Amino acid sequence: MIKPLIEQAQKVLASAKPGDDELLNAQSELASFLEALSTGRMSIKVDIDDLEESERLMRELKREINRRQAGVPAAEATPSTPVQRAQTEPIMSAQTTPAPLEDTSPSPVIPGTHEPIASPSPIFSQILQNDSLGGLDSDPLKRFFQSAHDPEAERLMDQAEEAFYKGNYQVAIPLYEKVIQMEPSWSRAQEHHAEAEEYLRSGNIPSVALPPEAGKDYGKAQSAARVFRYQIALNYLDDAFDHLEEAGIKRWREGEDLRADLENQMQAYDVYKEGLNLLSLGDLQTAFSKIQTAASAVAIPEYIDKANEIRADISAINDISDIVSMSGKIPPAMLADAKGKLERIRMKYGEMDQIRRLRTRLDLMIPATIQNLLDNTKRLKQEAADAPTANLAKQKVAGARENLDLLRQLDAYDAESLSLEDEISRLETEIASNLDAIGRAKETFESGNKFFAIDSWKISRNARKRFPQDPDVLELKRNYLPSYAVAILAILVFSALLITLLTFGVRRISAGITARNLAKTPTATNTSTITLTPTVTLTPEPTLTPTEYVSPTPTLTQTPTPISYVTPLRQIWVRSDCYADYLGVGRVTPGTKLTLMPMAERKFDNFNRECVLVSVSSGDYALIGFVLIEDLAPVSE
Amino acid sequence: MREEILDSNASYYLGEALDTWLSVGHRDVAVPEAAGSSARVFLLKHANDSLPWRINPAFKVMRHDKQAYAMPLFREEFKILGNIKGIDAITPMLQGGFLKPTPGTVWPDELAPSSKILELQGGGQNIKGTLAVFEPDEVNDILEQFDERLQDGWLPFLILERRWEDNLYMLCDAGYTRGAFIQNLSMKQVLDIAMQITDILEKAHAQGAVFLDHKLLHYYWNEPRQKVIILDWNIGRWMGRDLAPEMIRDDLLQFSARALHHLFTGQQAPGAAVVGGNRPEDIANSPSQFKASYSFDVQKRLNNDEMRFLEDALQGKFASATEMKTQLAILAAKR
Repeated sequence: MIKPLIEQAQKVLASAKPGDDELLNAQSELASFLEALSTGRMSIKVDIDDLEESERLMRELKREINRRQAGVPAAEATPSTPVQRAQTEPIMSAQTTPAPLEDTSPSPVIPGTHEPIASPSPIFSQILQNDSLGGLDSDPLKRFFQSAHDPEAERLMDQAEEAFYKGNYQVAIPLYEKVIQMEPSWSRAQEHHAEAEEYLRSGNIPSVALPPEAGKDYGKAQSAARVFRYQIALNYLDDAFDHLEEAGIKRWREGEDLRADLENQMQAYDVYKEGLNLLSLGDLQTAFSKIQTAASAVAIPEYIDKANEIRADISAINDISDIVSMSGKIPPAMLADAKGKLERIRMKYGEMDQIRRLRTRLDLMIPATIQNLLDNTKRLKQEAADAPTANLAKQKVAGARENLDLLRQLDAYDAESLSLEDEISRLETEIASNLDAIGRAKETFESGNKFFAIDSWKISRNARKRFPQDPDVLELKRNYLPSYAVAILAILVFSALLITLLTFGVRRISAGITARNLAKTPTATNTSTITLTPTVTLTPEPTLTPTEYVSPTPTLTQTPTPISYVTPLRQIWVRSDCYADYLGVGRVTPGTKLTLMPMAERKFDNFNRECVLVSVSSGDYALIGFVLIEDLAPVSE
Repeated sequence: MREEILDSNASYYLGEALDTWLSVGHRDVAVPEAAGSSARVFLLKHANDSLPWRINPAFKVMRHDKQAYAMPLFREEFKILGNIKGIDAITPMLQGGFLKPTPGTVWPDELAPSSKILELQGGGQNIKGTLAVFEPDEVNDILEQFDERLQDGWLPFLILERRWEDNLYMLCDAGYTRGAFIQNLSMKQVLDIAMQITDILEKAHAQGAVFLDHKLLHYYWNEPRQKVIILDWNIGRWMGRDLAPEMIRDDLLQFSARALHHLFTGQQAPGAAVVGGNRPEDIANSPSQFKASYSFDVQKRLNNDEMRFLEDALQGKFASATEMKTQLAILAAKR
């Protein structure tokens, strides 16, 4: 049964521009159904999801209706809440004139007729039940005691009490006075009369004693103030005062205090906003003064934080001014810090005259500092490279790094700085690896043989050379003393052994030699005696005889002369050298007469065949070269 | 992840503002909403009404001018909503991601949409941009891209179920209940609400999350189901397995001073962080013990056991939500 109503509401809400009547109709039908359900007038089972959806849709419809209603000009519909009134006032002239809405409160409506029915809010019934003051005659005991009074006095007392609990003290006081005239001993009438007069006179009305409408608005005002919605709270408070005025109450201390507080808060907010505006214009000092005033007035953390923030920025600007006004050499760290702070402030507040001036001054000072920093960094790098201890090297490297950071902060990080950083990084790596080596050497020494720490010694060799005065290296060296002693001892023993062996060997060799020499020498000497024997060779003096052969020799020497001419046995090449690997200079055919030329030495080719130098001449043609002997035949004259 | 366009002419767009503290709802009064210091909240709509959810959800987006402050809060909320499982009383994240507004975007003023004109003036329908939309199971991707995207001008957002119920501030704050124009909560209901909240906290603590921002504006009361629903975890912390007992105790103390005292007495314990916008440090720097404050009416409303329980809670005597829930169950049984 509820589903069609849900669908109808969904359809109305989903349509682009639902009419006011459609909205109202959907809302009232849904509201009636839910009301009937909650009061038990209808006993059907409704799915929880549907119930939930209908609750949600009710809110959507109500929200939409209220928004439309809030846009209606004041003459046609009065906004129901101060919020609506405050926010719609400026835009009313821009509104079209939609049909005025009638009652849009969630009062139950009789289905079909759309006629609102009266039903007290559940909270009222709760208050009535819990009312400890017993003012609404629900207590039978009270009625019993009241019945002891004069009936007219009792009637007036009822009226007075009703007015009193409504906060309508102006009405209540004369009624109490009449009651007291009739029954002077009625203490409750006296007390309430006194209280009512006191409230009106002093304005110290406790919130529970406020007229209900004023109490509601005061509560809302407090709630709104609690979440810093001051204008809304003030609007509610004005409504509360209106209700009080209607009830004849001129003074209300608590409300006045709240109003003063709210106004104070709003003024502080205005001053704070003014400060923020000045801040955006770059007037830091005046902005600070405004925001500080707002913070002192209401102590809102946001204001206090902002004031502190601006104070810190102003202080930073003053510090920077002091730095740029310093005479002599300004420490680069201070300069870099000043530059960083100034940049941050510039980013925060934008360009301001004061900041621009300071920046110009800083820009003038920075180049000299940069050169100085670069020189200092190079010196530190060199000192790190030469440092005799690892700690000193690390300190120097750290100093160099700091300088590089400062250069970076001063926006002076160029190729030279990059190269320096690279070198410093390499130095760092070297220091780290040496330190690591020292550490490992120490570990190895601790865990290994302390009298023969060769591994540890090898590991630390480079580190010991690099950092000869490092305490760890010195300790290592001390640790190696037993190892050195053992090594020296070993060398001594080894040398002694070697010498012994050599001596022994030499002796053995010389003994052997001696032994061999003794055996042969005598024979050798005897042999030489034998060599004397050839003296006998002198005997053939007849050797002179062959001298006679000399004479025929010339005859023999003429023998080769005929073979000074040769002829090839076949067609052959005459080459530049011996034989086939060399350039052919000419070709000779069998029968050609070749002249053998003299040669300083005999020549052979790769196959060990002998060549001869020959020449051929015929008319204006001549060639000279080598040929193989095997290809030749002598030519007889 | 997928990219969408934010444009009221063709695609997703932002509707009325939902974070302006006062809106006019079912009740014939101004309804308080939690106004966020780190985020703006709008109704999310689609030009073709083709959103995948039955009810248009809420779109919570980081304030563009409060990035440094809001960044950790959003990151924490993503962590919590992405990791916490099995608690149906938590308003779930339907989707999340990043919004890159088009250059020159002017964000609307915080105007309560109490009339049609104000609804338009305070609404986000003129905001255009690109949305990078992630599903709830892609929270790790959101967190991975978080810093890079923010540097690139994106603003993180969460798409949350829109709460239509009344929040407990309206139902419990003395300013409203004294006015007696809405249905007040009975003490039995108050104890039931407190039990439900401790149940949520018990489960959250077991998974490694603390809520910390226990203002009543963050608790909603679903009347048909008689159920509490919790909202806004950005002040909370996701600690996972590293949740220390001290953090649980602090969370319970904050709950006691702000929510429990407010539920019982209509106002927060004196000295507790204010109901308005809170920053994490406001909560971190609040006292470690509180004193209860009872008006005349409240003294009549609460019995001695309930007062003793509240005082113990304000002294930080409860080390676990379970312990507190058990005590509340005993108190409820006596009503």
